[in-house]
Amino acid sequence: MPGGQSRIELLQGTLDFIILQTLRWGPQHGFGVAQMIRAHSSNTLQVDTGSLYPALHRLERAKLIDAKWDRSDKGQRVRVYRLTAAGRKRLAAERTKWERMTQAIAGILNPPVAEGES
Amino acid sequence: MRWPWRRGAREEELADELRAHLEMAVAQRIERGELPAEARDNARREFGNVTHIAEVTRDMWGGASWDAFVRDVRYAARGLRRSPMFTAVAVATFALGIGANTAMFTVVNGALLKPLPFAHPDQLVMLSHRPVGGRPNGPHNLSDHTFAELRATPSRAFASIATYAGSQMTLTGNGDAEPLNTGQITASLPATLGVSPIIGRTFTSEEEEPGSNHVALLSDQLWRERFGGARSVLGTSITLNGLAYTVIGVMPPAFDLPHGVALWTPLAIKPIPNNFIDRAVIARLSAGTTIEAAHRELESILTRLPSTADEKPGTQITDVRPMVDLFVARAKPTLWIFSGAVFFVLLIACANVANLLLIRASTRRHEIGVRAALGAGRARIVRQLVTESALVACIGGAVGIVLAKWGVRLLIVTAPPGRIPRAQEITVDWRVLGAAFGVSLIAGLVCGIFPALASTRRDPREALATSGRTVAGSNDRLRRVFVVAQLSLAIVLLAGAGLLLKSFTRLRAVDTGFHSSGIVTFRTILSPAAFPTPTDLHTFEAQVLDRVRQVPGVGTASIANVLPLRPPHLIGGLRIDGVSTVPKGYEVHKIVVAPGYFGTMGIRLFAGRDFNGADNASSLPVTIVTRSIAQRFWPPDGRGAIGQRLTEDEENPQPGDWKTIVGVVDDIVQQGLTQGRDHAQYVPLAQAADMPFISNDVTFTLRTARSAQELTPTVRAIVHELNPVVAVRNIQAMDDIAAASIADSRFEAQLVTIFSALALLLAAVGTYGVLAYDVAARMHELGVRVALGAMPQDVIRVVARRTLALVIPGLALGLLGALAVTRVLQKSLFEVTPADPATMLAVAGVLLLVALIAGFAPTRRAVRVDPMTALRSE
Repeated sequence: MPGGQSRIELLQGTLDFIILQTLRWGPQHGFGVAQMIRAHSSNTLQVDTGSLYPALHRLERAKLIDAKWDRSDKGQRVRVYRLTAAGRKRLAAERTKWERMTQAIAGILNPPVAEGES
Repeated sequence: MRWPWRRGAREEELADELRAHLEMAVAQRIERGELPAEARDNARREFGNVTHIAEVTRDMWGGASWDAFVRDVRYAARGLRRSPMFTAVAVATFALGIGANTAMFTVVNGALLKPLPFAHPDQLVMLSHRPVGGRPNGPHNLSDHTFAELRATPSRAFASIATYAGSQMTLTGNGDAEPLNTGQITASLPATLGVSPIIGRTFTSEEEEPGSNHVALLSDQLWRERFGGARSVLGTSITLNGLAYTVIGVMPPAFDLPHGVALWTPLAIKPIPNNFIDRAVIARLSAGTTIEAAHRELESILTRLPSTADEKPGTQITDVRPMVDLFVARAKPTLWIFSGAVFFVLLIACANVANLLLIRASTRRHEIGVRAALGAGRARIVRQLVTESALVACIGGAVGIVLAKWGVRLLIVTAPPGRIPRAQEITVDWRVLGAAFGVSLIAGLVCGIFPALASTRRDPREALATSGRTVAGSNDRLRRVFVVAQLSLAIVLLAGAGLLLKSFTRLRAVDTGFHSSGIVTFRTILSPAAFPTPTDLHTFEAQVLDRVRQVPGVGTASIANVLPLRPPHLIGGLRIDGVSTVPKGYEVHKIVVAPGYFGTMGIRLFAGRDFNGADNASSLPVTIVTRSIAQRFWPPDGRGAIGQRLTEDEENPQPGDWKTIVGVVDDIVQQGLTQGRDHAQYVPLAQAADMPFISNDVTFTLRTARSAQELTPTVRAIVHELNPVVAVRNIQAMDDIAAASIADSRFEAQLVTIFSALALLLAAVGTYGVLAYDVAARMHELGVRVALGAMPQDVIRVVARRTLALVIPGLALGLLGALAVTRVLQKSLFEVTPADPATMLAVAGVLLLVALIAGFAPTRRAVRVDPMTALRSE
């Protein structure tokens, strides 16, 4: 597969979060979502089509996103996904959780130097 | 891109969406400078398996919609196609289980459940009134006296009542003399049943009376076969027993009473003093009358009728029961036993498929894990797996229905005549199809649900980590439970079969008191028209006897009015000269024989002499009694009976009624092999002139080295030469008569044995499956053991221990189950108790043997394990 040597497989919850985040920039079709994730992660995150479409359809079913058919700039008929109000709310909640989590992990990886030492 | 399945709009859209994705990827690659062909290949490779992606995406749609169901079925069908071996075995197992059950239900449905083919069959009932613990012949009867009085009594409950009888008549003219089973019916019978003739009319009540009763109704079959189905048959004359009868109508096939008769003549019920006849009585209830109300009304009417009013209360039983009992009462218990047996087969089949599914699930754990990781809920996956097993069951059910149609035909053909009632009504109808489909669905769900739950219980990450390799896991225990269940169910069936077989062997070994082998019998029916006086009858019978004695290969020959082990049996009381202690109700078989009967039959003469030519109508009336009668009244050894006198007329004997006992013979089995030997009194044929209805239908018995088949042409030729209008019937060996008398037991034993063999086969396959899987999963362990120096016997011991771990609980549970269940066979068993220890031991032995055979191949594989290969494969 093309791409970087250190790609990370995405777990289900993470993938949902990333898709919602991607759609924050505007409505997008499946191919576009995959491209943006790859581009914004500097090719580190590779989304497998076999995970992407189940995730999109699952989110659609959960009414976090909705979809309609449209024409791409090249005139191709594509299915375009868009965040719903519920999706935005969920994204905000996930974001807070995620930031707390990354802070915590960062804290573990780089423990603050205790006073009085060194 | 071609899609193999027709899709709904939503699937169409998904396909479009994925196709657009792929096209954009290709376009992007071309933009970057790849060659179109190269770009397409790379894009497709990067994209992955389109079918699979579409499938897992569809999983997300969820819901219990019809679409989701169709998707599940398609997915299941694809999965089954991918593993043809599993599918074949599972479908075959279900087909056997469901087929056997469908066949049995077809019979039960047609024989027991379907309403009778008459108008408002729920209004049709049988009436009976009999002494408590009364005679064994027919529990659903009324005496002619009671019938005649009841018919003349106005009642609210009964709209009409009717009765009937059967007899043989000989049809002559246009063709050979043809002996026919015929029915005699009261004029009210067709109307009571609500059956109209196909053409013509039925009898009027005036036609019951002698003088105008020479009219006949033809059965549909006789009409078509012998009279070409022509309407012109109405009003024509046919010859029955040498007398002319006018054909007045043709009855439809549904009018089958008595069963299987070719034509009907009128029956007059004469309540005259010497009429002791009881008959089956059918009544139609008035609209809205319940059986209970009819019962109460019948009881109250009977207290007023002359023939029943002076009976002591509590000595008689009055009964009103649905008419369908007339046909099915005897067959009911057997059919339920069979149904129970096939149900066990189905349970075993289910357990077998459940095991196959468990094994299949463990090889598919990776696939299941992928689906779960992608977010398909457990319920979703379980539903998919269960859909698969239900689909297998439905395919199996469809095959099973075909097997059942074939099986039902086989069952009816092999069953003894009359064992399966209403055979003409037994067909695969919508009710059977519905039941088969329902059972398939339930079977599929039941045996799919446990494997599905068990294989989705684990964490998907663990499943993914093992990357598709099979590991003996916790499903192991469930598999064992299923095998133990199969084995124990098989034991219950085996025990049933063993008991029935043992009982049947006991029946065959019964000492009847006569030598049946080497006896050939045949029957002649002499019409009163051709033989008007008793002398004519006796002359003719003596001529036939003379001629058959001269046939080469025939030793002795004689005549009897009835034969042992074949109905009818004539039974009556007696009164002994000088003995006032004959208890009321003491009844013995009454048999009319010619000289030489005891010698021919091989019945031992204890004292006195046989009848001889000098015992005739003008000499002293004589009789011979069996040993038990003699010993009862002239103890201790019964020799004192010789020279004593007795009579059949218990009430008011005339001087000429007394018969002198000239001989004492051994008791023989008359009624049935299960009933033991019977007390009997013999009367010489030449002195039975006052019983013409007895001596015009007699059976010749021949002791001969030749078979019934060989003798048939000779016997027919002799009778035909002496009188062409006499029909010869039932030329058969006494051995065959004896075999026919226990054909029911044989049929039961055979059928249950077949079912238990089926059960055993399925259980053996199940045991084999689990042991084989076990050995395969433990190859590594066994390899290590061998590498560490384990000898073949050690390996055998390991596998044997696993086998016994299945067999011993199976045996224990099965035997307990058998002890609980075989009690239902009580009535079918002869000289064997339902808990017969020898049978149970034998059954356990058979099962152990079969389990060892099932374990043989896996054991051999285990012994031959090559430690290097086994270890390398890790």
